[in-house]
Amino acid sequence: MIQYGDTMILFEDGKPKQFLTVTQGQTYQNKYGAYHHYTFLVKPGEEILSKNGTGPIYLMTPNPHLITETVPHKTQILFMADISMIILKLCLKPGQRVIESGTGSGSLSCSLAAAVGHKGRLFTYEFNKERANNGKELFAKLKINQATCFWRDVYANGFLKGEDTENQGEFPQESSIDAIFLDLPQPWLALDHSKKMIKKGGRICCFSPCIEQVQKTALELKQQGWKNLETLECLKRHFERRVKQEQSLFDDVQKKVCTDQNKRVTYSAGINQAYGHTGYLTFAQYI
Amino acid sequence: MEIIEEDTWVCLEDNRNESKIVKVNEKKMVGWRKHKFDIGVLLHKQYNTFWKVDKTNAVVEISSDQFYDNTDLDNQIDDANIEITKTNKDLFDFNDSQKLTQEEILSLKKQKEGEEIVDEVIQNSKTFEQKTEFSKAKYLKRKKEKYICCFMVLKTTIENVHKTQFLETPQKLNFMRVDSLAFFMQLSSITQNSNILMFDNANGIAVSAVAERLDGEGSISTVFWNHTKSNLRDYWPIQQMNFSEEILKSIKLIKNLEDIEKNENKYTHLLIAGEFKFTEIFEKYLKLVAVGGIIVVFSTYLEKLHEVAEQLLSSGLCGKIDVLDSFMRYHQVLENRTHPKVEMNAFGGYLLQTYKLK
Repeated sequence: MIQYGDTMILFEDGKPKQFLTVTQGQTYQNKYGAYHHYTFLVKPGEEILSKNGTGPIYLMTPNPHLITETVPHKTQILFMADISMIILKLCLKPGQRVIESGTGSGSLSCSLAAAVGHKGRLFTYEFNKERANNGKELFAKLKINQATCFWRDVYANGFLKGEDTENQGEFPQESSIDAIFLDLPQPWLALDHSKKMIKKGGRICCFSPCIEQVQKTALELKQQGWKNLETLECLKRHFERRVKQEQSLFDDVQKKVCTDQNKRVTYSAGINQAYGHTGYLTFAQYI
Repeated sequence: MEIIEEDTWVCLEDNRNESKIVKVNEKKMVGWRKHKFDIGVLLHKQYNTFWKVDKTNAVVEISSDQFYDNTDLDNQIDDANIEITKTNKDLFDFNDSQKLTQEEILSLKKQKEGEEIVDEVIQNSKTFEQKTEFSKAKYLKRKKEKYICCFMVLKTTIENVHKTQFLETPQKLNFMRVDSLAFFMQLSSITQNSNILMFDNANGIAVSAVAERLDGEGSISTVFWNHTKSNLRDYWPIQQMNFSEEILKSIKLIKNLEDIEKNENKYTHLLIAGEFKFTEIFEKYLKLVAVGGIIVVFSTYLEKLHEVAEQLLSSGLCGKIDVLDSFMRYHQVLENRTHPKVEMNAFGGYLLQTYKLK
């Protein structure tokens, strides 16, 4: 059952639309009318109607995939295709300790946190104060307790506990991290710090949109002795179903005579709009 | 540091970037790459160590430098400093550039170590010195891969268990490419305490990925294609992951299909990996999925997924039906020679995801 204070994902017109925190005494307004928050205290996923009895909306339990689709974009975010590959290729499993930098809008952070589970830990670093606070708020809102967000410039200050007193909470120890993910404009500047943190056999992933960045990163990784380098790109394509009435060339269109009147055929077609490029993922292992 | 215990499955990754998954026991013989060697040597040794099979078929430990001398050679050429002074203008394919005969090489194999054979082969190549630095490196890479057998010992992970099988017989995994498996996991968004109903026709690779993520906190009712005679031990991905008792307990193997309906709680996930008659599964079991439940289907056939989409749409119980596939390719990244890899796997299967809303 949904309770007051829970943050859910609102489905409207069959699509995830936004986060919604169920609060006593509030109403939600959309084109179908008003919805009192006390009508939201049902099971997640159940149909909720407006006061006018129209416009069914649904409140879904936030999960990593839905969070990616609804999280407000403070920055360019990582999408499902890249996230999936990052989690699989970094071999994340429950109980592991992971570092991420930067936090950005928190799309990947939520997926990483889910992959390491409540026994694991996610340390995420962001150098923009507003975004760091946003990350903290997001984790609090979604009750992701295994994630800690730090406000830190990792190029200069790395990942260990430092003199910056503003950052509260537990910092990771040296050589204690199973996997590191870097989404930074110059990931090669953070590799020295990363090497300090990673366990033997641990993996790193760097995300960069430009191939020149990838080349620089790969060179630096090699020079630092990281092994088993691999670079890949991954994109997703959507398909839709179209039901068409087939018309024969030989039918008399003017007289509206169809030889095969009821012939409706289902076809599948690719959807034109897609991301042609998001970024390259470079993986390496520390041995 | 973790050491390799008795009866553990480990992944051996060799200098050709191929892999094999074996169980480590004392005095256990393994046949691989035309060698037969005793893998028991690895017992009580550390993970991420490097080994070589020598001319007597004994497994000896080598340093990481020795290993990477023989593997990953593309990455080792100092690209920026190579000057191309030679061309292939005067190279002709007369098939006489190698002075050693096949018999001579075969007898060399018995007497000498891999590195020595490679040296010998190069010395007896008439054309080697005329090659450009790049094609020298390529030649060296081919010869080293052929004559030297060394490998690295890794912990088994979903990725290398999948990769090992996929390279060999992708049909056993229902052609589920690694990115499709990754999508499958991300789309099904498994959280602790999920109660999952799963149909698997991909030999258990999806089940073991889900079980690993669930970490014993929840339950997976699994139906395999040949459900009446199956046993968890028959599915190598589940064995090879070295799961703890706790995780194995969370996988409930369903041998009698009526047991599916006997579950007290409703299922939070309905996951299908591989070919089944999807429509009959949804007809019978969609009602057992809780409101807000996640449904993910993997198939190699787009038409079958659209059939499912049509069925779910007309039932009016599901919303946000997505049908998608993925495109993935690897890149060669070198300072002056960066491009997508020549070989790629062009087809990884299709996925459908939806939420049950009523």
